[in-house]
Amino acid sequence: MSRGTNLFVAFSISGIVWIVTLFLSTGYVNEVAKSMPTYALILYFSYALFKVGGDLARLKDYPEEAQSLQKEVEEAKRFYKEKGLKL
Amino acid sequence: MSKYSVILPTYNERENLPIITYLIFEMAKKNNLDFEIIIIEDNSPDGTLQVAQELKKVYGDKLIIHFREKKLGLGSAYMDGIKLCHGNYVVIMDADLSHHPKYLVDFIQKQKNTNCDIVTGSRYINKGGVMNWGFDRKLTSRGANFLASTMLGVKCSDLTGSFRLYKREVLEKVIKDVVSRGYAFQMEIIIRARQYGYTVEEVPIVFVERIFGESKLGASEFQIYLKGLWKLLWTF
Repeated sequence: MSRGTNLFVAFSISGIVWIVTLFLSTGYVNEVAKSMPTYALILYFSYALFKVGGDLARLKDYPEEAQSLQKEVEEAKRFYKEKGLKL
Repeated sequence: MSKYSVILPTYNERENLPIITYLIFEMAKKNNLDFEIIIIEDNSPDGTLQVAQELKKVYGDKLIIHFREKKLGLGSAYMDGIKLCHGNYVVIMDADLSHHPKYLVDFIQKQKNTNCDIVTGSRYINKGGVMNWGFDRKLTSRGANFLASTMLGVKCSDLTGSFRLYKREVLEKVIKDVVSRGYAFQMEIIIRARQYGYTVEEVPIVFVERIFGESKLGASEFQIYLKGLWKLLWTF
């Protein structure tokens, strides 16, 4: 089975369990069951924010790499000039 | 002795091509490595082919030029490039100086230490990074990688990266089956490779945004990426 099919089956089973719980439960359990999809969405987006935010915070800039590359560009140009190349 | 073939697809890279070629061969000379470059030139209007022909006067047989009449995409560029390779290892990288050839020494070392089938450069592991990226580009890239890893369930820190070293037979086998375009193409190679049981190792790289020329990245790339991701979801 593909990943898409697996996810579809997992969501479908969760959906059926949720609907059955909604219809068969009463009182506090019923109240909690009604909020579960919203809670699941908030959990997922919170995880996404935390993960992407953390990754962004850790993603470093390296200005020295850009500077070193500029020097190498000049070095390459000198090399080709010595070789008499018309570029 | 191992021989390394670098496949360089080019389109409007007349300013970058001489520099990247110089950097690759200088790195190879300093480290006593046997390298060749295969340029796949898709009839650039800016004269990239003429520049490549000039470079051949300096590098001789170590520089192979394959000319194509029009822009035919990365996948076909790699397939055409593999046919012209003499090496037992193949490097795929960008010609716009965002992938620095100095990291190839680390790639080769990693491959020798682990005997892995693929080494991929990652911007997102310890000692990896970027330069000249705005916040929105960083957010898009991290968001895209997060989306891919959660939807596809693949553990790879930089799925959309295109700086890789392959054992030649591995790339030959995997690339025949790849159907995606754009960034999804790079993701599909890794997913298929893992499916076949090939091993993938990561090496940190710093990705420097291009100095010369125009980026081919546009808003339509993101749409193509999402479509590609959706297709991959139902393929694997």
